[in-house]
Amino acid sequence: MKTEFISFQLSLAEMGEHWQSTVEDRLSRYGEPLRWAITHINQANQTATVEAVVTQADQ
Amino acid sequence: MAESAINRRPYTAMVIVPTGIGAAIGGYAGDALPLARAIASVADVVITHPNVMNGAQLYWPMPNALYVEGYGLDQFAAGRWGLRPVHRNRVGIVLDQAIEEDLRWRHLQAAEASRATLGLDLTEYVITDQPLGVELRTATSGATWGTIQHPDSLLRAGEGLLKAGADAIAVIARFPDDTDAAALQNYRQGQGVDPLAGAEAVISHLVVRTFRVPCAHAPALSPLPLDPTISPKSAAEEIGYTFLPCVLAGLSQAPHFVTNAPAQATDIWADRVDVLVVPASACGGSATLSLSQAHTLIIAVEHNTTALNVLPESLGISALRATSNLEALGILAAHKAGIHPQSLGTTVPKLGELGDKSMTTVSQRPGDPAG
Repeated sequence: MKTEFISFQLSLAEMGEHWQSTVEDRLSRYGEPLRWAITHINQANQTATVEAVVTQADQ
Repeated sequence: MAESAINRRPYTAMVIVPTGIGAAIGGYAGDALPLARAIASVADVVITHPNVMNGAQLYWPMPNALYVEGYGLDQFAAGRWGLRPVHRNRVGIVLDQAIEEDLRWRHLQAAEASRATLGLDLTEYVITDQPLGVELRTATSGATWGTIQHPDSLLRAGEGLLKAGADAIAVIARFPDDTDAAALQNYRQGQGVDPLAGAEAVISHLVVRTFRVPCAHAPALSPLPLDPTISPKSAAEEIGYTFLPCVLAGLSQAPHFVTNAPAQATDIWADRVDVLVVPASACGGSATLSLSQAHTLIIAVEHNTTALNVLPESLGISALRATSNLEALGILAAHKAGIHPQSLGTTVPKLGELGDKSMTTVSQRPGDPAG
């Protein structure tokens, strides 16, 4: 197992009111989430930045 | 703790000050503990997390406060886990193999002192079979995060403690001394973002996610040279060799996590949370987002600034703004008493017909002039 820091953006329209499930679904592409938060909202681009640490199985 | 009336269920408050984002109140050494104490004097139950409760050598036992690690808090708020209050936990200690012998003894003596002086129940300790390899990181947002090179070693140590009868796990990891000198200096002056906090959260989250038991972390660091100019907000971490005492005290009565039936009458689930107090600029955390979907009143405190700017409105969260923690306490007391905050203002808006947009709405925050 290893721990990995990741960051990505989601469109606000994509998330709607389902922040939790949308973020967790996207995080599952990278590994199993340990800790995450929406850390920035860009109103001009209508995007949210998510920062997270996930665990990944050793290759 | 306020006395409960027989016709009311316990008024339950949650306090969140996310770690590693430079919160003006709660971003340093246990400096949100006065807020938790004040809320605990109004609410019947307070649910909060180690970043709020831990002041290194200092802590304040509160019989109505539940000490819940952040990963468990997120699961609780999402309704996946419940909290089961307990009278006592037997605490096991994991020591990072990377801790030097002198520093390890300092921590073991703190643990021994907690047994002799506080009467805490500890198992034998475990030293990890590999150095944990803590690495620190600051993201572009300004938040601090971190990773560990050998998470499996941490989990093997935790498993050993659970087999030895531990109910809760305290982890002491060796953190790098050579952090950014400017960031460290700022932190000691009560400014900027705690460079260690994000990595600390990752360590305890991993243990809680894996074993579903209470966990908290204390970093092992070489003592810093005396600096008479440091901020009172950071002073709690300058007065001893370890940050372990608050962790052991908190874990000794931390609630257990339950995931399904059979339920006990004392179990607490997210639908019991009446109010959440959170910094206004840090509303993008998992627990806040979860509770925003429930009936919980969210009080967003403006003066508790952070490195972030994720406001409740930007996420569509319906929150009541409070200018300060003192105002938040007033709102909380009124909410518990069933008093609408507008009733405490200089004027009270007239009732209008539903759908008449010319009327002042009851959603105005209590600090507004009309309220």
